[in-house]
Amino acid sequence: MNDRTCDATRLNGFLSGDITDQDERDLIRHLDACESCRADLEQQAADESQWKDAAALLVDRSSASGDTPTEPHQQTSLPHAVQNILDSLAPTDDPKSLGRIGCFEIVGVVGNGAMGVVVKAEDRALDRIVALKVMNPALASCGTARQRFAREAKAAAAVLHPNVIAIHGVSTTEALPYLVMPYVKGTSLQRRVKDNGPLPLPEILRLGSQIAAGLSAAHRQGLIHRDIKPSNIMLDDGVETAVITDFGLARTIDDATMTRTGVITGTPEYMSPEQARGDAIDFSSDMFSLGSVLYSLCTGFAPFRARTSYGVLRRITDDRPRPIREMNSEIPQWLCGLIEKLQAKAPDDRPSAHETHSLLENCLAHVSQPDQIQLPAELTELVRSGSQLFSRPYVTGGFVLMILTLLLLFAQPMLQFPQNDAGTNQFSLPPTAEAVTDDEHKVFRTLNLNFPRPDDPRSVVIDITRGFVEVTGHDRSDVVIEILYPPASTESKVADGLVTQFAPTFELDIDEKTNRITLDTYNNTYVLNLRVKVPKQVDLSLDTYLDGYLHAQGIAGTIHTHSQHCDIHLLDIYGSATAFSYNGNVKVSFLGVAEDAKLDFESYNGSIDVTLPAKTCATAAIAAGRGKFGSMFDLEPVDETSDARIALLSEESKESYQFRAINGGGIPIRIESAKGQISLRKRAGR
Amino acid sequence: MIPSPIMHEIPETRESLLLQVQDPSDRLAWEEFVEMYRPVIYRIAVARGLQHADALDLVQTVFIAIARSIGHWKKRDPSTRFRHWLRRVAKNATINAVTRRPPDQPLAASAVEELLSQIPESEHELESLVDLEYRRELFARAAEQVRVNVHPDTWAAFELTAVNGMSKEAAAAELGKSIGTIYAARSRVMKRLSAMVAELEGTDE
Repeated sequence: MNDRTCDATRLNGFLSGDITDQDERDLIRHLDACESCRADLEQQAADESQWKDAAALLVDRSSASGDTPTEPHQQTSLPHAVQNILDSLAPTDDPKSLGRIGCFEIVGVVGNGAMGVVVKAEDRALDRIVALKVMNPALASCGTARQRFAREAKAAAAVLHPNVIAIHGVSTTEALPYLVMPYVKGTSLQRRVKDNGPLPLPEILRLGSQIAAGLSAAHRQGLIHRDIKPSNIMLDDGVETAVITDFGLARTIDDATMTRTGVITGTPEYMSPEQARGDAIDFSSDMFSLGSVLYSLCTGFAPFRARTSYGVLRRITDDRPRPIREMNSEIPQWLCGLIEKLQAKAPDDRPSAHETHSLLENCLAHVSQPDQIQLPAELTELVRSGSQLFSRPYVTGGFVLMILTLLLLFAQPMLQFPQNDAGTNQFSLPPTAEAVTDDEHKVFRTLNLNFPRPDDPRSVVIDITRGFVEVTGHDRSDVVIEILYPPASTESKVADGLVTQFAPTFELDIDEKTNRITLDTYNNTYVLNLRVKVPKQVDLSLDTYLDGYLHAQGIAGTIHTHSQHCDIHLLDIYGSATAFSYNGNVKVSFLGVAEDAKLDFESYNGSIDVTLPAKTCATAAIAAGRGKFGSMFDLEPVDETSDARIALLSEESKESYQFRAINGGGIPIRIESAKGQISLRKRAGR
Repeated sequence: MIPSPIMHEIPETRESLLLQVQDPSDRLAWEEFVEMYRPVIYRIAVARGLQHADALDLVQTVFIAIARSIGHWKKRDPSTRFRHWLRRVAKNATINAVTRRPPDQPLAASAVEELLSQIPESEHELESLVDLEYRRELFARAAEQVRVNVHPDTWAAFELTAVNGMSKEAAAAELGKSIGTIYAARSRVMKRLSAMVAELEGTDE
């Protein structure tokens, strides 16, 4: 064999490494010249489709380096999306160009968004620089996504306004659909605030009025932007005109069919409460977002911040942002008032884009010529009528009347609810001027409540967002709920110093039919501290989210507890219990277990510690994740003749979630923790 | 290993979850499966708009859901292989997790059922995204295995021409090799790569 012969066997041998070095050298020399053997070799190595797969699937590998950027999620998406686009460009003769799309020479990458990548391009025919928004190739193969892209283009092109990005053209016929837009030379509002911090007042008013004008134009076309945030507002170089870009999520009101997955797209920090909840939205959703943008221009920060996007959403729906003037005292009260109005939780309470535009414009005129031009009457009115409102930042609009009424109701320190007071009863406790006290046991208010019927099966439900709940059994038939001041130690946990006045809101329900007392609050501004006394025989249901614990002691009944981040302690209890906490520890100790009890304890990160009475016949299904499992058990061996026995199911059985009856039954127990330690033991003695 | 910054941050579930997999050959499959799917689920979650921390949580949630359901898996039909079953369950769980559940919620038993249930018709788009991300991961892993076992120039000949789209002539000039060498090298790498992909995918058995 030599370097002149075409030989398929040799190709095959080469690929599997079965030929001599000499043959290999011959083959390589042969390949230098022989086109057909090159093709054969590649064909034998892998199908054409595999070559293509390798190219497409490995292409972002080289860009995935080991350095960790500040925003890890961009690490994976940005280079990949950008690389995808760059790889699909047509070749070009121009050495300065990265490639071509249609008649455009691509000269740089500007950024990337949800749908695709924005590149800077030269329009050779018209000799101008434009920005192309090119659809991500991964999405371009999907029909729905192409439709969405085309729709976005149509929607945005319909709005002709200096404060809304213009659409020069759109191509949806090529392999990669793209939009042609003017190239805005400048920075985004986000960059501006990040680099320079809060903007001066005239700038805020000027840019705010421009954004409102752009939104007003879009809203007139029936278009909701849905994603107003500082990074979507460009500042044109030089004149610094605000231009709203990226109608990536925008859609017309009547076109509400295509994307309703409820999945968060993009940064949720500027979302409206109705968006955060996944409810239907209208134009006023953009107004809330504009309020949040103005807030960030005044303070340098987004109004609702949290570690996770879920946390952000909760704050948007439940919290009021920290007052602007606490962070930037140069912002006048009337602007804070306007921003607060834009950020009203109820969509109908927010001013329209048109109103906001003219208000801000008039404000700007007033600020530049305070002697000649008055502040808009609406704003002076807002400040005057709301002066009390503003001084009490956590009590707004609708609540004011109710609070006045309730001030009278709560004139007496002890409140006796009538025995037959059935039905829902929302109330706010009047705010006090007192600051959070150091005295952990100081009582703020006491509620004395009676069950509709004293002896029937009765239950108490307490559902709070943040705080401490301590329930103990007493020998009386009424329920006493003491609302204590938040412990000083939790003050630091109260985000951004939100507790200046303690004025929690509750919903109280005393249901005659079910003989149940329910105390409910969804206000998470305050860390609550509840000390509750209930009759010993009662069914309990306790629910909390974070910042405290759930504690019940000396109760006989069925207890259900649930928390996200708190420890749950159920001590000296009779009856049946369940406890779920995502991050908290669970500790349960029974004095007696009901015959028909179902015991169920679960935590994700926390440990679980269960103590049963000595004479318990039970079947436990235990699942431990990373925590120790097995070694912690402090159990007597299963003894057929003993009253006290527990059988563990999970170590030897895959069917750990099926309770297996042992000698006709026993109490079923399920215990599960992904990361915590599990301990199940019996009390000593018989 | 692919040098990916997310790898070490994603919570290790493997050892604990292995407790529930009894058959040693299944354990190996599970181990490979977790390695493979961890970045896949993470990327899908991020592509669907979840932030870093939430995406990590979701990865964990999906693995827990799958691990919990391992008890249900039985070799009813000898042709159903554990790794195939895992792939199907993982796909369902990932899609359901990103479309149905808010993040940061404890995983109740009913939610596990829901996570593992059938994918709704409307999610075919996402389904193909999961497939795509899975194949991307598969190829990346296979490529890494191949890369460390060949001469750097051999690898470069493949990467420059087959992946980065450089012409063979330019690659030959850049690497200082003959054009025949470039063809030989890239074909040999491709051959090994596709064999490795097949092996990782389990289609070779």
